[in-house]
Parts: sequence; structure tokens; C-alpha cells
Amino acid sequence: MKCKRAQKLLAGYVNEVLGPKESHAVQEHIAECEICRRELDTLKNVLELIDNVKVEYPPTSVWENFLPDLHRRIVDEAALVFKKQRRQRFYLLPGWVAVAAIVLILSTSITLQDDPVIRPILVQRASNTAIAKGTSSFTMKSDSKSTLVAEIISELLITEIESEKLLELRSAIQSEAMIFPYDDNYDDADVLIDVSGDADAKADDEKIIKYLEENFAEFDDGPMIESDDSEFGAI
Amino acid sequence: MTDSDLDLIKKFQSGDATAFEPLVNKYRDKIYDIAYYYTHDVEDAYDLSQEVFERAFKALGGFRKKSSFYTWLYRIAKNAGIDYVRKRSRLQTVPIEEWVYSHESFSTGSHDSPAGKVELEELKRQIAKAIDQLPPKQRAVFIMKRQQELSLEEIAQILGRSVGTIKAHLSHATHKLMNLLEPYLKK
Repeated sequence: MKCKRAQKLLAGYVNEVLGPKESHAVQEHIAECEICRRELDTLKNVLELIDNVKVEYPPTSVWENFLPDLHRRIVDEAALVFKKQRRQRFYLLPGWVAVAAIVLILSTSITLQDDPVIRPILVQRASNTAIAKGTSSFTMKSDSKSTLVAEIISELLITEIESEKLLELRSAIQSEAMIFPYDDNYDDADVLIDVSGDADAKADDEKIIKYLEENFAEFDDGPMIESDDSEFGAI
Repeated sequence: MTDSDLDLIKKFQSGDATAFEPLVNKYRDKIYDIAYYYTHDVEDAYDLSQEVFERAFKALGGFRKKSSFYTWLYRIAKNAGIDYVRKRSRLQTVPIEEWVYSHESFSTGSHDSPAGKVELEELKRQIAKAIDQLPPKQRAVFIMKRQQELSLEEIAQILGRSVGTIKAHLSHATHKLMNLLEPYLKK
């Protein structure tokens, strides 16, 4: 083997990716060639230098918050999606945004599961969820199971419930946007959201509130649901 | 793909978003390591690894299971890393601070002395700078092979290239790093 060929193979040799035949040929060459042997030593030393650069990790206190931080990040991003599209009467909600809300709802970091008001809602509704259909789709028919997911989000976003934990959740979501099922003339990949304060929206508000009152009625000590027009008007 | 990953992904795709959490816990360290090699900075690596999982969360609904979850996740991490480096280049900032270097044989003095510490910091900066100078694909291959210790086949799958191409990228990257860092060996 000539030096030119050997020097082309040295990087592969030092990275241990050559086949046995080539590797053997390089070994034979460097045993006899001082120049190539020096080049090989240089390569090894440079790689050793780089290999000794160690990964440094954040402090434990930061590292332990990785999941809560991720939840917050996803939910904040979801809130941005809401805000960017607020001027529209209806808009499409990517499936992952709804999923993000569910993650937050079920997050142990917020411990909503233990809340006496929230728990029965979650048990009944979250158990029926069916979401994340495709990359950015979200099945959305008023009679489908996944509608329940949107309804849970709606409830959490627009209702007045006497629960500090729910207020904490609402604050985290940082949005007053409403989500409700709207299946007519739309395919099942979309979620329609009403965020405007006009007359049509008000009728929709009443529809949602009626739905929520009916569905929450079974909880004697459950949430008190009220419409807050000023809240919707400010959107 | 391990059964565990597959089960969790199925659960996620059928509506149980909490199934994402075990996946995060399982791969968090590996993804952070990749992020660190791209950023050379603890805080940026943490943010970048968060971004990787955020991207994965958004896209997991459409994951088709044609590769392992880890390969898929790794590809996201690699892309996020390249995006990070491009963005940093545009901003013309060099936040290279937190590297830890434990090698002794290339130093002329003790790293405990003030002069030694200055030399050490300079060396760390030069190593980071040299890796940053590699073209994106060469850098990705070098990091995966040398620092992540992935096989050539795994890297080829992640990057969607042949094993031969990966070998060529690795060879070019190694030679380039040698040329850039050789002056520091001779100190």
C-alpha cells in the first residue's frame, strides 16, 4: 500500500470502521512508514482530545423539572396558536394542541386528579377520549368520543369552578378561547373554535353553557357554571 | 423497536397522551447529550432537548413505525441541532462556555494554576469551534459516531444515506478536525 492510499484510510482506521482486509493493510503499512505512523498518532491524539470533552448537565433541581417544563412549553405553544388566530370567527385547531391540553389536565405536576371537583369529570370524560388522529388532525364529531375531549377543554377554559387547581390550570393555558363540537359540513379532521364576541357567538355560548349545566348537574358539590360576557367580549 | 416503546406509542395515538411521559423519561438523557454536543452550553442544551420533545409530541400522532422510535427521535434531535447552529451563526454569537476538559497530556502546565485554567478554557473553545466548523452532515455523523457511539448502520438509517456515504463523512470530518486542532497538540 502506498502512503497516499494509507493516509486516505487512516481516519477510517482510527474510527474502527474499516473492513478486516483494509485494516490489516493499513497496519502493515504503518509498521514500515514513519510518516504515516506520525499522521496516525496525530489523528488518535486529536480524537482523544475531543473524546475527553464531557457533557455537563444542569443542576438536579433544574433536571427534575424536565417534564413539568416540557408540559408548560407545549401548553404555552398551544396558547400561542389560539392567540394567533383569534381574529377569525372559526379556526382550525391542530390535533396536538388538544393533546397538549389533555396532557396538562392529566399531569401529575398539577395533581388535578386528586381534586374532588375535577376528579369525577376526568374519570368520566378522559376515559372516553380518542384523539391524535394523524399528524395534525383531531377527530371532531359531536357524537364521537373525541368530542368529549374538546368538551373537557371547553369546560376547563370557560367555566367558573370553585377550585384553585382549576384556576391554576386555566392560568397555565393562558387563553379564554372556547372549544366546542361543531360537526356540520366539516370533515372529521377539524376542531372548530369560536372565540368571537358577536351575536352568533353569543348564541353558541348559550348552547355550550346549557350543555355544561346539564352535564355538570350530576355533581352535587360540583362546579358552578356561569357565563361571563365581558370575558368573551374581550377576546 | 422495543415492545415498550411500541405500546406507549399505540396508547398515545389512541388518545392516552400521558403515554408520552415514559418516552420522555426514557430518552431524555440521550437527547440531552446530543443537544449538548450541538450547543456546547448547559442552558441551551436543556432548551434544545425540550424543543426536540416538543417537536416529537406534535408529530407522534403521525409516526408510522417504519423505524424505531429512537431513530425517529434522533432524527428530530439532529435536525433541531442543525437548526440551532444555523440560527446561532446568523446571530453571530459564540456562547461556548461550559465545556469540561479532563485531558492532561496536551497541556504544558497544571490546570490548577491560573495560566493552566486560561489554557484549558482556550482549548475548550477551540475544540467547540472546530466541531462547529464542520459542515452539518459531517458534524452530525461525527457526533453520532464518536460521541453517541452509534453504529454506521444506525447513523445511515437516521440520516437516510448509505453506509458508504456515512464512512466518507466521518473520514472527512476526522481529517478536518485534525487539521484544525493539530496546532493545539503541539503546544
